[in-house]
Amino acid sequence: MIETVGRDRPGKLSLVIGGGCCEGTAPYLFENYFPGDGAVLVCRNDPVDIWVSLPGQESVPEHASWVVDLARGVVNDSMSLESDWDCRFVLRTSEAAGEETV
Amino acid sequence: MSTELMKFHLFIDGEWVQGSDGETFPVINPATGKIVAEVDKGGKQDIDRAVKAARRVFEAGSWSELPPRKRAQVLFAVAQKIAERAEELVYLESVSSGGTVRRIGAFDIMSAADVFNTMANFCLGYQYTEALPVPAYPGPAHNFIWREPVGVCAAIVPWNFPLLMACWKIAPALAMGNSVVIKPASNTPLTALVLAQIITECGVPPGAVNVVPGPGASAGELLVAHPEVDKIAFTGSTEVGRRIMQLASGTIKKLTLELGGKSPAILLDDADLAIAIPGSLYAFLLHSGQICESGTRLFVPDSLYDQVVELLAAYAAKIKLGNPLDPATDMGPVVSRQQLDTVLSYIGWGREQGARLVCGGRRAVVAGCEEGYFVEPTIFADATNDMRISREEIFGPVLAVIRYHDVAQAVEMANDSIYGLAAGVWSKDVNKAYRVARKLRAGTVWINDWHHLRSDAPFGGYKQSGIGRELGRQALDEYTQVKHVHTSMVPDLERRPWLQLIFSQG
Repeated sequence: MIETVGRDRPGKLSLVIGGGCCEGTAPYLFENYFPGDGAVLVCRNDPVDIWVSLPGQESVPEHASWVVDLARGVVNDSMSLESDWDCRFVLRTSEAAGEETV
Repeated sequence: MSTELMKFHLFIDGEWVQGSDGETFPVINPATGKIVAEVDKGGKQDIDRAVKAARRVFEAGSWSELPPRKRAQVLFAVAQKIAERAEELVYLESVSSGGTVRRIGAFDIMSAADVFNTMANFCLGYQYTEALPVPAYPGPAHNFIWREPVGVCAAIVPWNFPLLMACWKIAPALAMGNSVVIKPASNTPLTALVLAQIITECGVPPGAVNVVPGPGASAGELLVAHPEVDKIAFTGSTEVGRRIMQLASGTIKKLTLELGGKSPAILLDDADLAIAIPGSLYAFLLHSGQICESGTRLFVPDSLYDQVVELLAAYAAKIKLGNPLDPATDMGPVVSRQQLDTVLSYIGWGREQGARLVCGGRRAVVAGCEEGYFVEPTIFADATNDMRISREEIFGPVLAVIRYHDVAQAVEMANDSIYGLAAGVWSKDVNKAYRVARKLRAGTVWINDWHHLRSDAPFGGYKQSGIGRELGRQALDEYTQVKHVHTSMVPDLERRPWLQLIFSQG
């Protein structure tokens, strides 16, 4: 999905783990992301950098393992770029990865 | 109400139109997991068409230049029509958002009508022209201020209170003579679509109110960045609010952002527990906690801690989960499978970080709604203010109870958040409560209450909970531009004061 989006969008892609409120805590795929105060770059990557922008991120243990998964068939308003394909990135702990969501 | 699949088109330029891409998307009832409606999916072409219609109407003046008393008449009629169509609106709202019919019927519909009535009254009494005193120097001159509509306003509306959040934006925008393009949440577009039809039938010119549901990345981005949109009003998360600021910066749009919260309640040691206990539950359980200003952190003093934790858990057990269409239901589901997963993840993180679960914590299975997205009322005791369940917005029925030793410490912890949307104090001594309220960095502070908002009182956030205010007279200023007009009354060139500034030869 990230590669699919990358073919459609010329700018630098970033996956930002943030959110809250109506859009939920989830990975957001943005183009030309401007990091907020407190956002931390955890992985510089091609085609996508990964940021964490969560108010409680300082309490996340170093050994924590998160998985970015993709839910298909979800029409959503998050402004995350995969929403153009009716998909939504979701965050899972590694044990729950692969669980059917839709 | 019929159980047939409902179908909705987009509402653009005063009529129902099919989406240009020919695609539809389903609206799912979160209580049953079943599809209740199919709605046309709005794309970039539809957004563009809606914005152009809104711009056309604005420039033509058929709404923007109408005398305020005529605009007010229409807005009063809209309020009346909302009340008349309450049954239909309650049903549509409940089957898409999962809100209980009891709440929507008693609160949302009446509040929606009230917002239009209040904004209509404000429209009548607004100071559109304000004269300034005639100056002696460098004067004389005639100076006054005009307050004019902004133009085309984009409203991006969330799924938790779809009708009410749409009204909060549409009513002041229309009151001040603007045109509006609404992008409702894809989970819950139905009542906004019907509302647009109601508003047009009541006399707002076709094109002044348009509704285009569509995905956030395409429809939402275009709306936010569109050069013909003058102002954006958004309710949603801080992360997406930040993104909207970035996209809107290209054309320096006016912004009202109503973003997230992690609102603290401080129980003082003289709190009336007979009210504070159910009140604190109401603060985080209404609409399954899916409210930006939910009271999701409760600070409890040492002297009351064990008693309060026990009382909260016992009282929470009275909450009846059920089908939101059943008037006997107290609490319905969360809005979607994704939201359910998010809430359950946070409950897992709460346990992992050492908070003590005193009630709830699981997905609930409700008889007759076995596929629904229900979560038990969940209370964590012994939380600390640095845990993720205390710092991040869960948007579900989850409370973090945090112990404090003295009030200054409680206030410090309450303010230790990027958010500042709302706060509360429970105390029998109102003066003591006011002293605490003064120190809380939040846009609304409730004393011995929660969730109580009024259409004539401003609502909005400090810090990263937002920019600007909705409701109240303050909302009108968010939808106007200010123009200062100066007319020189100095008759002779020689007496003009600026002559000497650049013409040394006279």
